[in-house]
Amino acid sequence: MADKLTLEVITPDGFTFTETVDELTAPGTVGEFGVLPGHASFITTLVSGQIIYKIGSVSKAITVESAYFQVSNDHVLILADSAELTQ
Amino acid sequence: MPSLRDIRNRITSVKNTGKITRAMQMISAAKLRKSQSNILAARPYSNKLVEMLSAVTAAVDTESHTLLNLRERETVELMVLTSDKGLCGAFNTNVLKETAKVMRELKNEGIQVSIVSVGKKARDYFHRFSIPVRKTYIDFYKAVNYEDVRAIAEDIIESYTDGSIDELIVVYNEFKSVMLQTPKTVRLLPAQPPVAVGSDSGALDKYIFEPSEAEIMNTLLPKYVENQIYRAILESRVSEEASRMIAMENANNNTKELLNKLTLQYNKARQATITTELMDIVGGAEALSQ
Repeated sequence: MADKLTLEVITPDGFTFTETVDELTAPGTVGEFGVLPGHASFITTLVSGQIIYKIGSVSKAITVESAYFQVSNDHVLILADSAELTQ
Repeated sequence: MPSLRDIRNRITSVKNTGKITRAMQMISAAKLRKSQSNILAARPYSNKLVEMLSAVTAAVDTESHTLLNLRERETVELMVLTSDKGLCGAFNTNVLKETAKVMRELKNEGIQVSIVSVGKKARDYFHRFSIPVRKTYIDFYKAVNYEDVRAIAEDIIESYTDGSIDELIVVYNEFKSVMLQTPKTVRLLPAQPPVAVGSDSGALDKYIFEPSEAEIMNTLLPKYVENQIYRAILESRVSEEASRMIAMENANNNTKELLNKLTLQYNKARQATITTELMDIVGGAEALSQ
């Protein structure tokens, strides 16, 4: 699919991060899951862990702490208590 | 007519006060900038959380969630946000006046009022009028911390859930601009997130909840309350500094005006003594020459 996902991570202390990605995996409370473009509207909670996203063949990660995860219309919104880019 | 020394003392004391108010103004300006950037940082998260919640609540049955349910108002909790320190103009007075108004209205309707005060000024106010306060929080304005706010929110949600309060109203100063802060009364519980705009419920119904709708709502709703309280506290903080800055600026202007007046008075008095002295000398010389 040519479509891409928009990933948005926001925390209360002002950290915001937006990126267009091809796919991502996130640590849900009931197990890790992956999201591809065209995913159904979906809301869940995340445990602390790493969100791994791929742009092309490069994969990067963001560490988040207890977060909400919402995806609708290829827009992924993550509201985390805290977040940090992992190198 | 005050003596020269009296005026001199007065001038020194006014000058000293001026130094203090000037310093306070500068400190407030710096703190204002800092707390303004805090609130700007908190805003995107807060907005998105409200958006998420309203998208979700549109799809769920509100009856099944305690925090969303409207119920008969028997006890209403008032949360009053004031500052810890004074010298900030009408900041605290405005909020406390508004609180008194809300309390009167509730009492007229025969509703019990329970109070949570935040800030020393609110505590002192209720103490002075011997109004019982359920909980007091002081001394956390220096650095507003999300963890502290969470503790406050948890306590309130708990008493809401166990039925000892039926509604939560927050009274605080809303920051409109540096020149204008107005007291604002907001009902936080039962939670009423704004209805999602531009999305017909058909699209919203399709949300999949994992692990379950109830579990998501059970964490999302307290989060929402927490966040709203956090936001109100930040807002109050910014208003306080803005209010103090303006109050101190006015004080500075008054100091300048007063100094001008006193200096003029001082010079007049000095000239008067010189004139009298000269008259004395001239009179003495004339008496001698005769």
